[in-house]
Amino acid sequence: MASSASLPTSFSKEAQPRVEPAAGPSNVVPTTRPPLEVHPTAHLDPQAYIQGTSTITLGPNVVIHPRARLVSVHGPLTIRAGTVILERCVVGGPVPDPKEPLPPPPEAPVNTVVGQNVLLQASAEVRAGAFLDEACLIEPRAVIRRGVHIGKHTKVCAGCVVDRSVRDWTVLWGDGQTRRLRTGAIDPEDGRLKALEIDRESTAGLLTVAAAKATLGKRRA
Amino acid sequence: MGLTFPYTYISCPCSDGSKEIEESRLRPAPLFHKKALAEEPEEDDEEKEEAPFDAHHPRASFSLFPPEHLLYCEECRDLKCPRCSIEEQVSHFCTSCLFETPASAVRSEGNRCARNCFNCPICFSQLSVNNINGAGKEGPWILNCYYCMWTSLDIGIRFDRPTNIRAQLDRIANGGKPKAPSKPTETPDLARRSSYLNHESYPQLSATTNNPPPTQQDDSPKETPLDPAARFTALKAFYKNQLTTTTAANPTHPSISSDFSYSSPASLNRILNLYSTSGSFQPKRKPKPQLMREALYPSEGLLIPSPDAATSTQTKLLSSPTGGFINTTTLSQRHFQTGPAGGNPDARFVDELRPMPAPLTTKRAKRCKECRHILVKPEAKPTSTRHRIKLVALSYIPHVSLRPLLGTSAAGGGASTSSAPSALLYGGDVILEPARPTQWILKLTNPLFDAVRVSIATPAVTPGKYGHRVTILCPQFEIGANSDVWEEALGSKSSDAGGSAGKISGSGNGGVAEAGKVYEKGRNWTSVAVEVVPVSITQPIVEAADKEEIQVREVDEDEDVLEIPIRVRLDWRQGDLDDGANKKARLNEDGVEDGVRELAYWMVLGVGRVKK
Repeated sequence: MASSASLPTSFSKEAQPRVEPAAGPSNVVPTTRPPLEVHPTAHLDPQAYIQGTSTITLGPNVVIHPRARLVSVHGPLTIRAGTVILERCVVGGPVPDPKEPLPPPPEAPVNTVVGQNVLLQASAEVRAGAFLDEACLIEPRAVIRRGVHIGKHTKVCAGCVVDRSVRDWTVLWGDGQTRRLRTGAIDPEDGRLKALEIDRESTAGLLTVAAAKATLGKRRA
Repeated sequence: MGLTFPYTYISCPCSDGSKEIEESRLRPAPLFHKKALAEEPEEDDEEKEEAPFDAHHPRASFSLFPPEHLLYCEECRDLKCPRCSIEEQVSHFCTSCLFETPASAVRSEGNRCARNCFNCPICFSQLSVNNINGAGKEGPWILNCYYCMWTSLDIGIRFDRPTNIRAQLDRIANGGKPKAPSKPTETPDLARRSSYLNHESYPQLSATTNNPPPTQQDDSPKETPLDPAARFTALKAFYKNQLTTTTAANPTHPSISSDFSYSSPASLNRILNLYSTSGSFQPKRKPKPQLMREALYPSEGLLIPSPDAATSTQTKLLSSPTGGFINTTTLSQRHFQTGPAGGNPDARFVDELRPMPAPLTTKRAKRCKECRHILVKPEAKPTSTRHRIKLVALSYIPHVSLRPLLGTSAAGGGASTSSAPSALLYGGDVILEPARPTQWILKLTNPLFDAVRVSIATPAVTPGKYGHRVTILCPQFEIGANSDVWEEALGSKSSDAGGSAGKISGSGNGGVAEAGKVYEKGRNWTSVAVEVVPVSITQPIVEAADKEEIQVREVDEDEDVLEIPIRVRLDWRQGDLDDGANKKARLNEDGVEDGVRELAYWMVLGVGRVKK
């Protein structure tokens, strides 16, 4: 896969992480901010919600849209290169009750990993302990439950609840139990990933400009 | 059934069920109508028509329709329910590309779109034509499903051009090879061979036909295998030919010709042969009967499966890399492949499925079943939602609404006054107190441009198990024409002068509920008062013939609903009769122009539920 091969799988630890202040919503009780490791090329929108106690790592070219929610209460959260997380997504959930103080770090934390070039569409949910392999496509309102491994190039259609692991190149739709293997779709998948890359770059530019203007406006005010 | 009160249904007496209801009115439930039957053992036909409609009859639901579902035939001058009309197709079009297909081409194209519209064989959603690389104007092209990510590459099909996909697909088999011919092609050598085989003067050659062919290798390069449908056709033609040939050769052979009818030439030949040979008593040497042979060549429909077919199927099922049982087809997927559009309904694995062209949809006109008059005719263009003719019943019959007297504006909106009517809103239903008189305002609004005389009648006691008492205070009245609002405002003085009894105003509760008087009257509407006295439905119903054993019957679902059957009779004089086109229509049976229209029907008015 040309596009996926061109992107690095992990970034150097020497790179200086850029920590952007995330403004939480007014109705959410301020919580302790988790340690963040954000690659310089990644975009973590200021309007995204961040909660938890464990480390959240964002790889190169990751784009986190406004109002997306990253939760590291149950363990560390790793989002690898080229992943796009759209608004109202929840990664590392379930979300703790905002009226109660955050629980202490768990004794047995679970790792939540979102692989390279994954696209999480709006309102998708990835529970803590799930592992999404590279180039997955999770459609709106789909739920990936705890401990589930989603194989490479898998598509989970809208509204599906996935409670068991899925092999590579699978498509799930309907109630989440209807599935098929994509046997001859390598060429179109390459085209899809190229389109995702173009879309990600343009969106990241827009969001960066918008965030900068919002910050400038606040300072002037 | 969730009911929203008040509601209106109109009965259409067209169905057999409603005829039975009509008959059952003559022999109603014995408990309540025994006395009435005893008094009137015989009824005339005229009385039968006047029998009240029983809304709680088990089959009444089959004849009741919401007014919006009814049509009106101007030729028959009657209401028409969906059963009273027949449909005919106006145009065929594809819902994907909205292109109209001529009716002459629909059958040949398998009732499916002949352009680029296809449905996914896996998830049945719409397919799109894409470049294999995702972008660019040069091919090859594929069919792509954005939902389940199926592509035509899964079955090894790619196209050279992005247009006329269906014609291209008809030429390609799964895997990318040219498709097997759908019609058996008879090669010249086969034709020559057939002529040899059928010739009676070459018995030595025809005798060899019973033996198997020497080798398949001689014929296989010249004859391509057929697809299943073509193979069936070829086999059928072959055996038909065999039967004809052997019967003609052995006209007296009874075992072969016994199934043929006497009208066939072979049978006639056999019979004539019997007559011609009956006079001569010399024993005739019977020729050796020629036996039928089996199909020997692929062009005749023969298919010899490869020896490893079963093994390869098992391997495909059990091998994990190819998905195993995930790759088998479902029943719905096989059903989706049916039809003459090139599908494969016998597919066992998903790589044997074919993308199916999108099925066509029709626009339909409706005609009256009796007079074939057009009731509804949409425009033929697929993109248009307009109708050329649309004779809906709501344009002819008054719109009916019901509200409680002295209550709020809507009957179902909470009539919670302590005085009459005592309808209380409970759980979204209108609850009526038993044995307590309630008064309601029945408002009829005229959609016609002519004034309508209305007479409404209801039985004093509703038919059925529970006889609620109903009284319409003013059963006969007139509703004004649905004229222009400005015309009404400008000519208000004259209309006031010619107005009938009752208050002419469009507002609220200013009327008086008196017997024989209209409660309120407006430009094109009139309201009258209706008094309802529900009976208690909690009283036990004794069904036992034995006096000692008393059975209490439970109340069935919706049995507590108070429904009033109302016989509505409308008559009006049609105003616009000046043009010559309508001249024939306005002649009555005596040939006199009158323009009078009459319409009568049973209407069921749901008021509310009686409190248990």
